[in-house]
Amino acid sequence: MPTYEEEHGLNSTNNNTEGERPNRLTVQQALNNFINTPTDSRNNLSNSINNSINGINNVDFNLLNQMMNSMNTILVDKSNTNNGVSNEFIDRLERVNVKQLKNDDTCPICTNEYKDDSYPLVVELPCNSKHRFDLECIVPWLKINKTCPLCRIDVTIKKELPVLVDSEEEDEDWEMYG
Amino acid sequence: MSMKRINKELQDIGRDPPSQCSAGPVGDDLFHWQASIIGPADSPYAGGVFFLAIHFPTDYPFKPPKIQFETKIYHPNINSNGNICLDILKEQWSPALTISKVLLSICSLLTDANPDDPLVPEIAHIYKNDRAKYEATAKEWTKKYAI
Repeated sequence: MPTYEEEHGLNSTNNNTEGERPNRLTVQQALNNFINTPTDSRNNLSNSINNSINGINNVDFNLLNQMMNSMNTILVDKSNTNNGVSNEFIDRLERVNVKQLKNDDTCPICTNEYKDDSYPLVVELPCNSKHRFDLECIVPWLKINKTCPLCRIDVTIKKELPVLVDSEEEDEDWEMYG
Repeated sequence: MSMKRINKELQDIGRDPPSQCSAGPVGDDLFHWQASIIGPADSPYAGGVFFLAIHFPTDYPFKPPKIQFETKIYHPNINSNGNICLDILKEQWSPALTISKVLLSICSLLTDANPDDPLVPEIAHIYKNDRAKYEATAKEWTKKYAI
């Protein structure tokens, strides 16, 4: 009586592959691990994913590698944007009046004097009214970090509370007139 | 932005150099500098001159510069490739820091090692348990490689 394999024209190498499978992560498991792992340790996981991919026949390795790379890029980008502040936060930063600026005041980031620019656009962070920067210099930093470059305090913590109070006050005002 | 800021730092370092340190571009490439640190007097590195390579990323100062020792040094926070374990060169970097400030931090790391966050655990172990042996080896390496 023919075996199952003989009847379906399968060769015995498939048996070996089947036998090895349990030792490897499935692609699904590997991908899940990959997504839930911090960026730094992803290289090891990429290797383990590659190992598990090698266990599968008829797969375009280059395509899979490309997919892994682009996924890594997306995840890194995503984690970077998550580390920064929102555009709304940047829009709400307190502007510093030019009259308050002394002639030799400098931006801590570009280290140039604010008044080198005839129309300086200077903002202060909520952590300290003396923590001032050129708007143009602080924005790229805050897009990837939530901390003040001078005191490392999370700038979003103090700022978000008054914003809530403001919106409540606005609501009350509307009720008065409505 | 990065080019302008690096130029500014070069001017500032020339005008007001940090004590015991010097730094400047290697060739025409403004993004590649070499620095030197004179071993602090109150450390086993006294008398040595240590060279460091500095590479500025294109998005400097929003990302930290890469700094490595080119001179071999026996220190718990500096490995045999010259890599330095210093928080301000990694997650504690701030765009308000400058090369001058970073070099001063490296100087103070030479005087006060941080054995609780070691890059070379063997040296950290000796630093903690047999300070005399650590100082002797550090002095020996300074004499051998940095003088």
